Amino acid sequence: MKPVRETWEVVFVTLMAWALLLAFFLAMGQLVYMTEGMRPLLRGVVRGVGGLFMLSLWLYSYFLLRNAYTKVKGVPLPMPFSSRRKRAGRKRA
Amino acid sequence: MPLPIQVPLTITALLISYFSTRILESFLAARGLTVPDMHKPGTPSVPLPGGPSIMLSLLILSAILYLLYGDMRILSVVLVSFTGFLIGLYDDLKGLSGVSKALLLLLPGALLVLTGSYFPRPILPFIGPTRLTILYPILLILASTIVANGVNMLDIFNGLVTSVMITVTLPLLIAFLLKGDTVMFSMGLLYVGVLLGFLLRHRYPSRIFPGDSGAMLMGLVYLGLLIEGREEVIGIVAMLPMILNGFFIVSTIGGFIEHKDIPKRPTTLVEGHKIKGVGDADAPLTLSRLITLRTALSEKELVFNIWLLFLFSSLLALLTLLIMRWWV
Repeated sequence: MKPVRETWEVVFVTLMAWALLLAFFLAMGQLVYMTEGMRPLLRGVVRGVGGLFMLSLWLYSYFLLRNAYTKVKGVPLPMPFSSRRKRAGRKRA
Repeated sequence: MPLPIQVPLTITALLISYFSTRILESFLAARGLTVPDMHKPGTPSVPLPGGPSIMLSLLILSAILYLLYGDMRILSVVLVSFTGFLIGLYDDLKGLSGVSKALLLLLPGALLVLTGSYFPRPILPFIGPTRLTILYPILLILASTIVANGVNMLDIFNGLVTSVMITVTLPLLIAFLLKGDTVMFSMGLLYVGVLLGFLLRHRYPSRIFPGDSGAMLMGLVYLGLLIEGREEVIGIVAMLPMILNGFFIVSTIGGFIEHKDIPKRPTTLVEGHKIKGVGDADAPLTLSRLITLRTALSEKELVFNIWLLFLFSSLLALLTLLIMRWWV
């Protein structure tokens, strides 16, 4: 049995997902390092807000990865949920 | 415990699992508890669920391991997996909606939190040891449903989920060995033994299907191992293709829906009983659909291709382990 080309492509997507995960940890590590000298309350706030921001970026990057791959492969994706809601609203009106 | 004792215990796990699965097959077939295997000519009937034989083997072997070590972490792994098994068994026999299953599967993680059997100081790459006393229990409860459902989503082809779970447990075993955590290493080895015994009957052509009880149990034992063994990141990396698969499915169908309730199938059967990914925009995006977009594959070939992805992610998990050891 031999792997097909698509398997190598998904291996590449997995590699990208891994790199994004490590990039997230690296950024979080830098945030922790930079805020070490701050007062405890300020440090908590900066780490909390910064951490949430980076977590959102990381999750968003997975959507970008999915969209980029499906675009390259020409796989149609369902309409985004926001557009579905808008369309349903227009139909009701 | 020296290795010469662990090896016979693992072989015993394999044998108990294999023979209890064979007995369970006859029991289920005699009571008509079978489902058609859709990917084969003539759609043969296959007994389901195989989860009880996996659970029974794990209970017996974990009891022996607990008598040897007296480590409470063994009981925690069993508690988490047994709760998931019961939820899965109810789903196999009576049926549960996608949303209720997702919500009920928060329970195994919640039990771990309630019993306080976790250590909220995960070691993260490039950061080192952290203290996440508030965030960790929340993530643990969420991880319980994500892992159990994610593993269940992989249970679509003969032997796939079992071979994948064996493969992704190997980096965890290496991590436990390097850390000198003999208890979790032994527990992981027993888990691999039990799965190997089950795989002998679940591999292509399957004589039994694990069902939701088996798949959820497999996922939750894995979760228990990585939480109690404190190798969270290694476990996450090894499971990356499962995370991507779950993310792709949920992000394209917009929520938790039962297999049978998905309006459009991601793959279709073509000539020669080969599987081909569909080009329909409303079908969920799955790993099997992506891999078979251009070339139709037989079930055996597709299982091999998906398994390769997990082999690769397990290698990435080992690389992550090296990076973490080098960074500290």
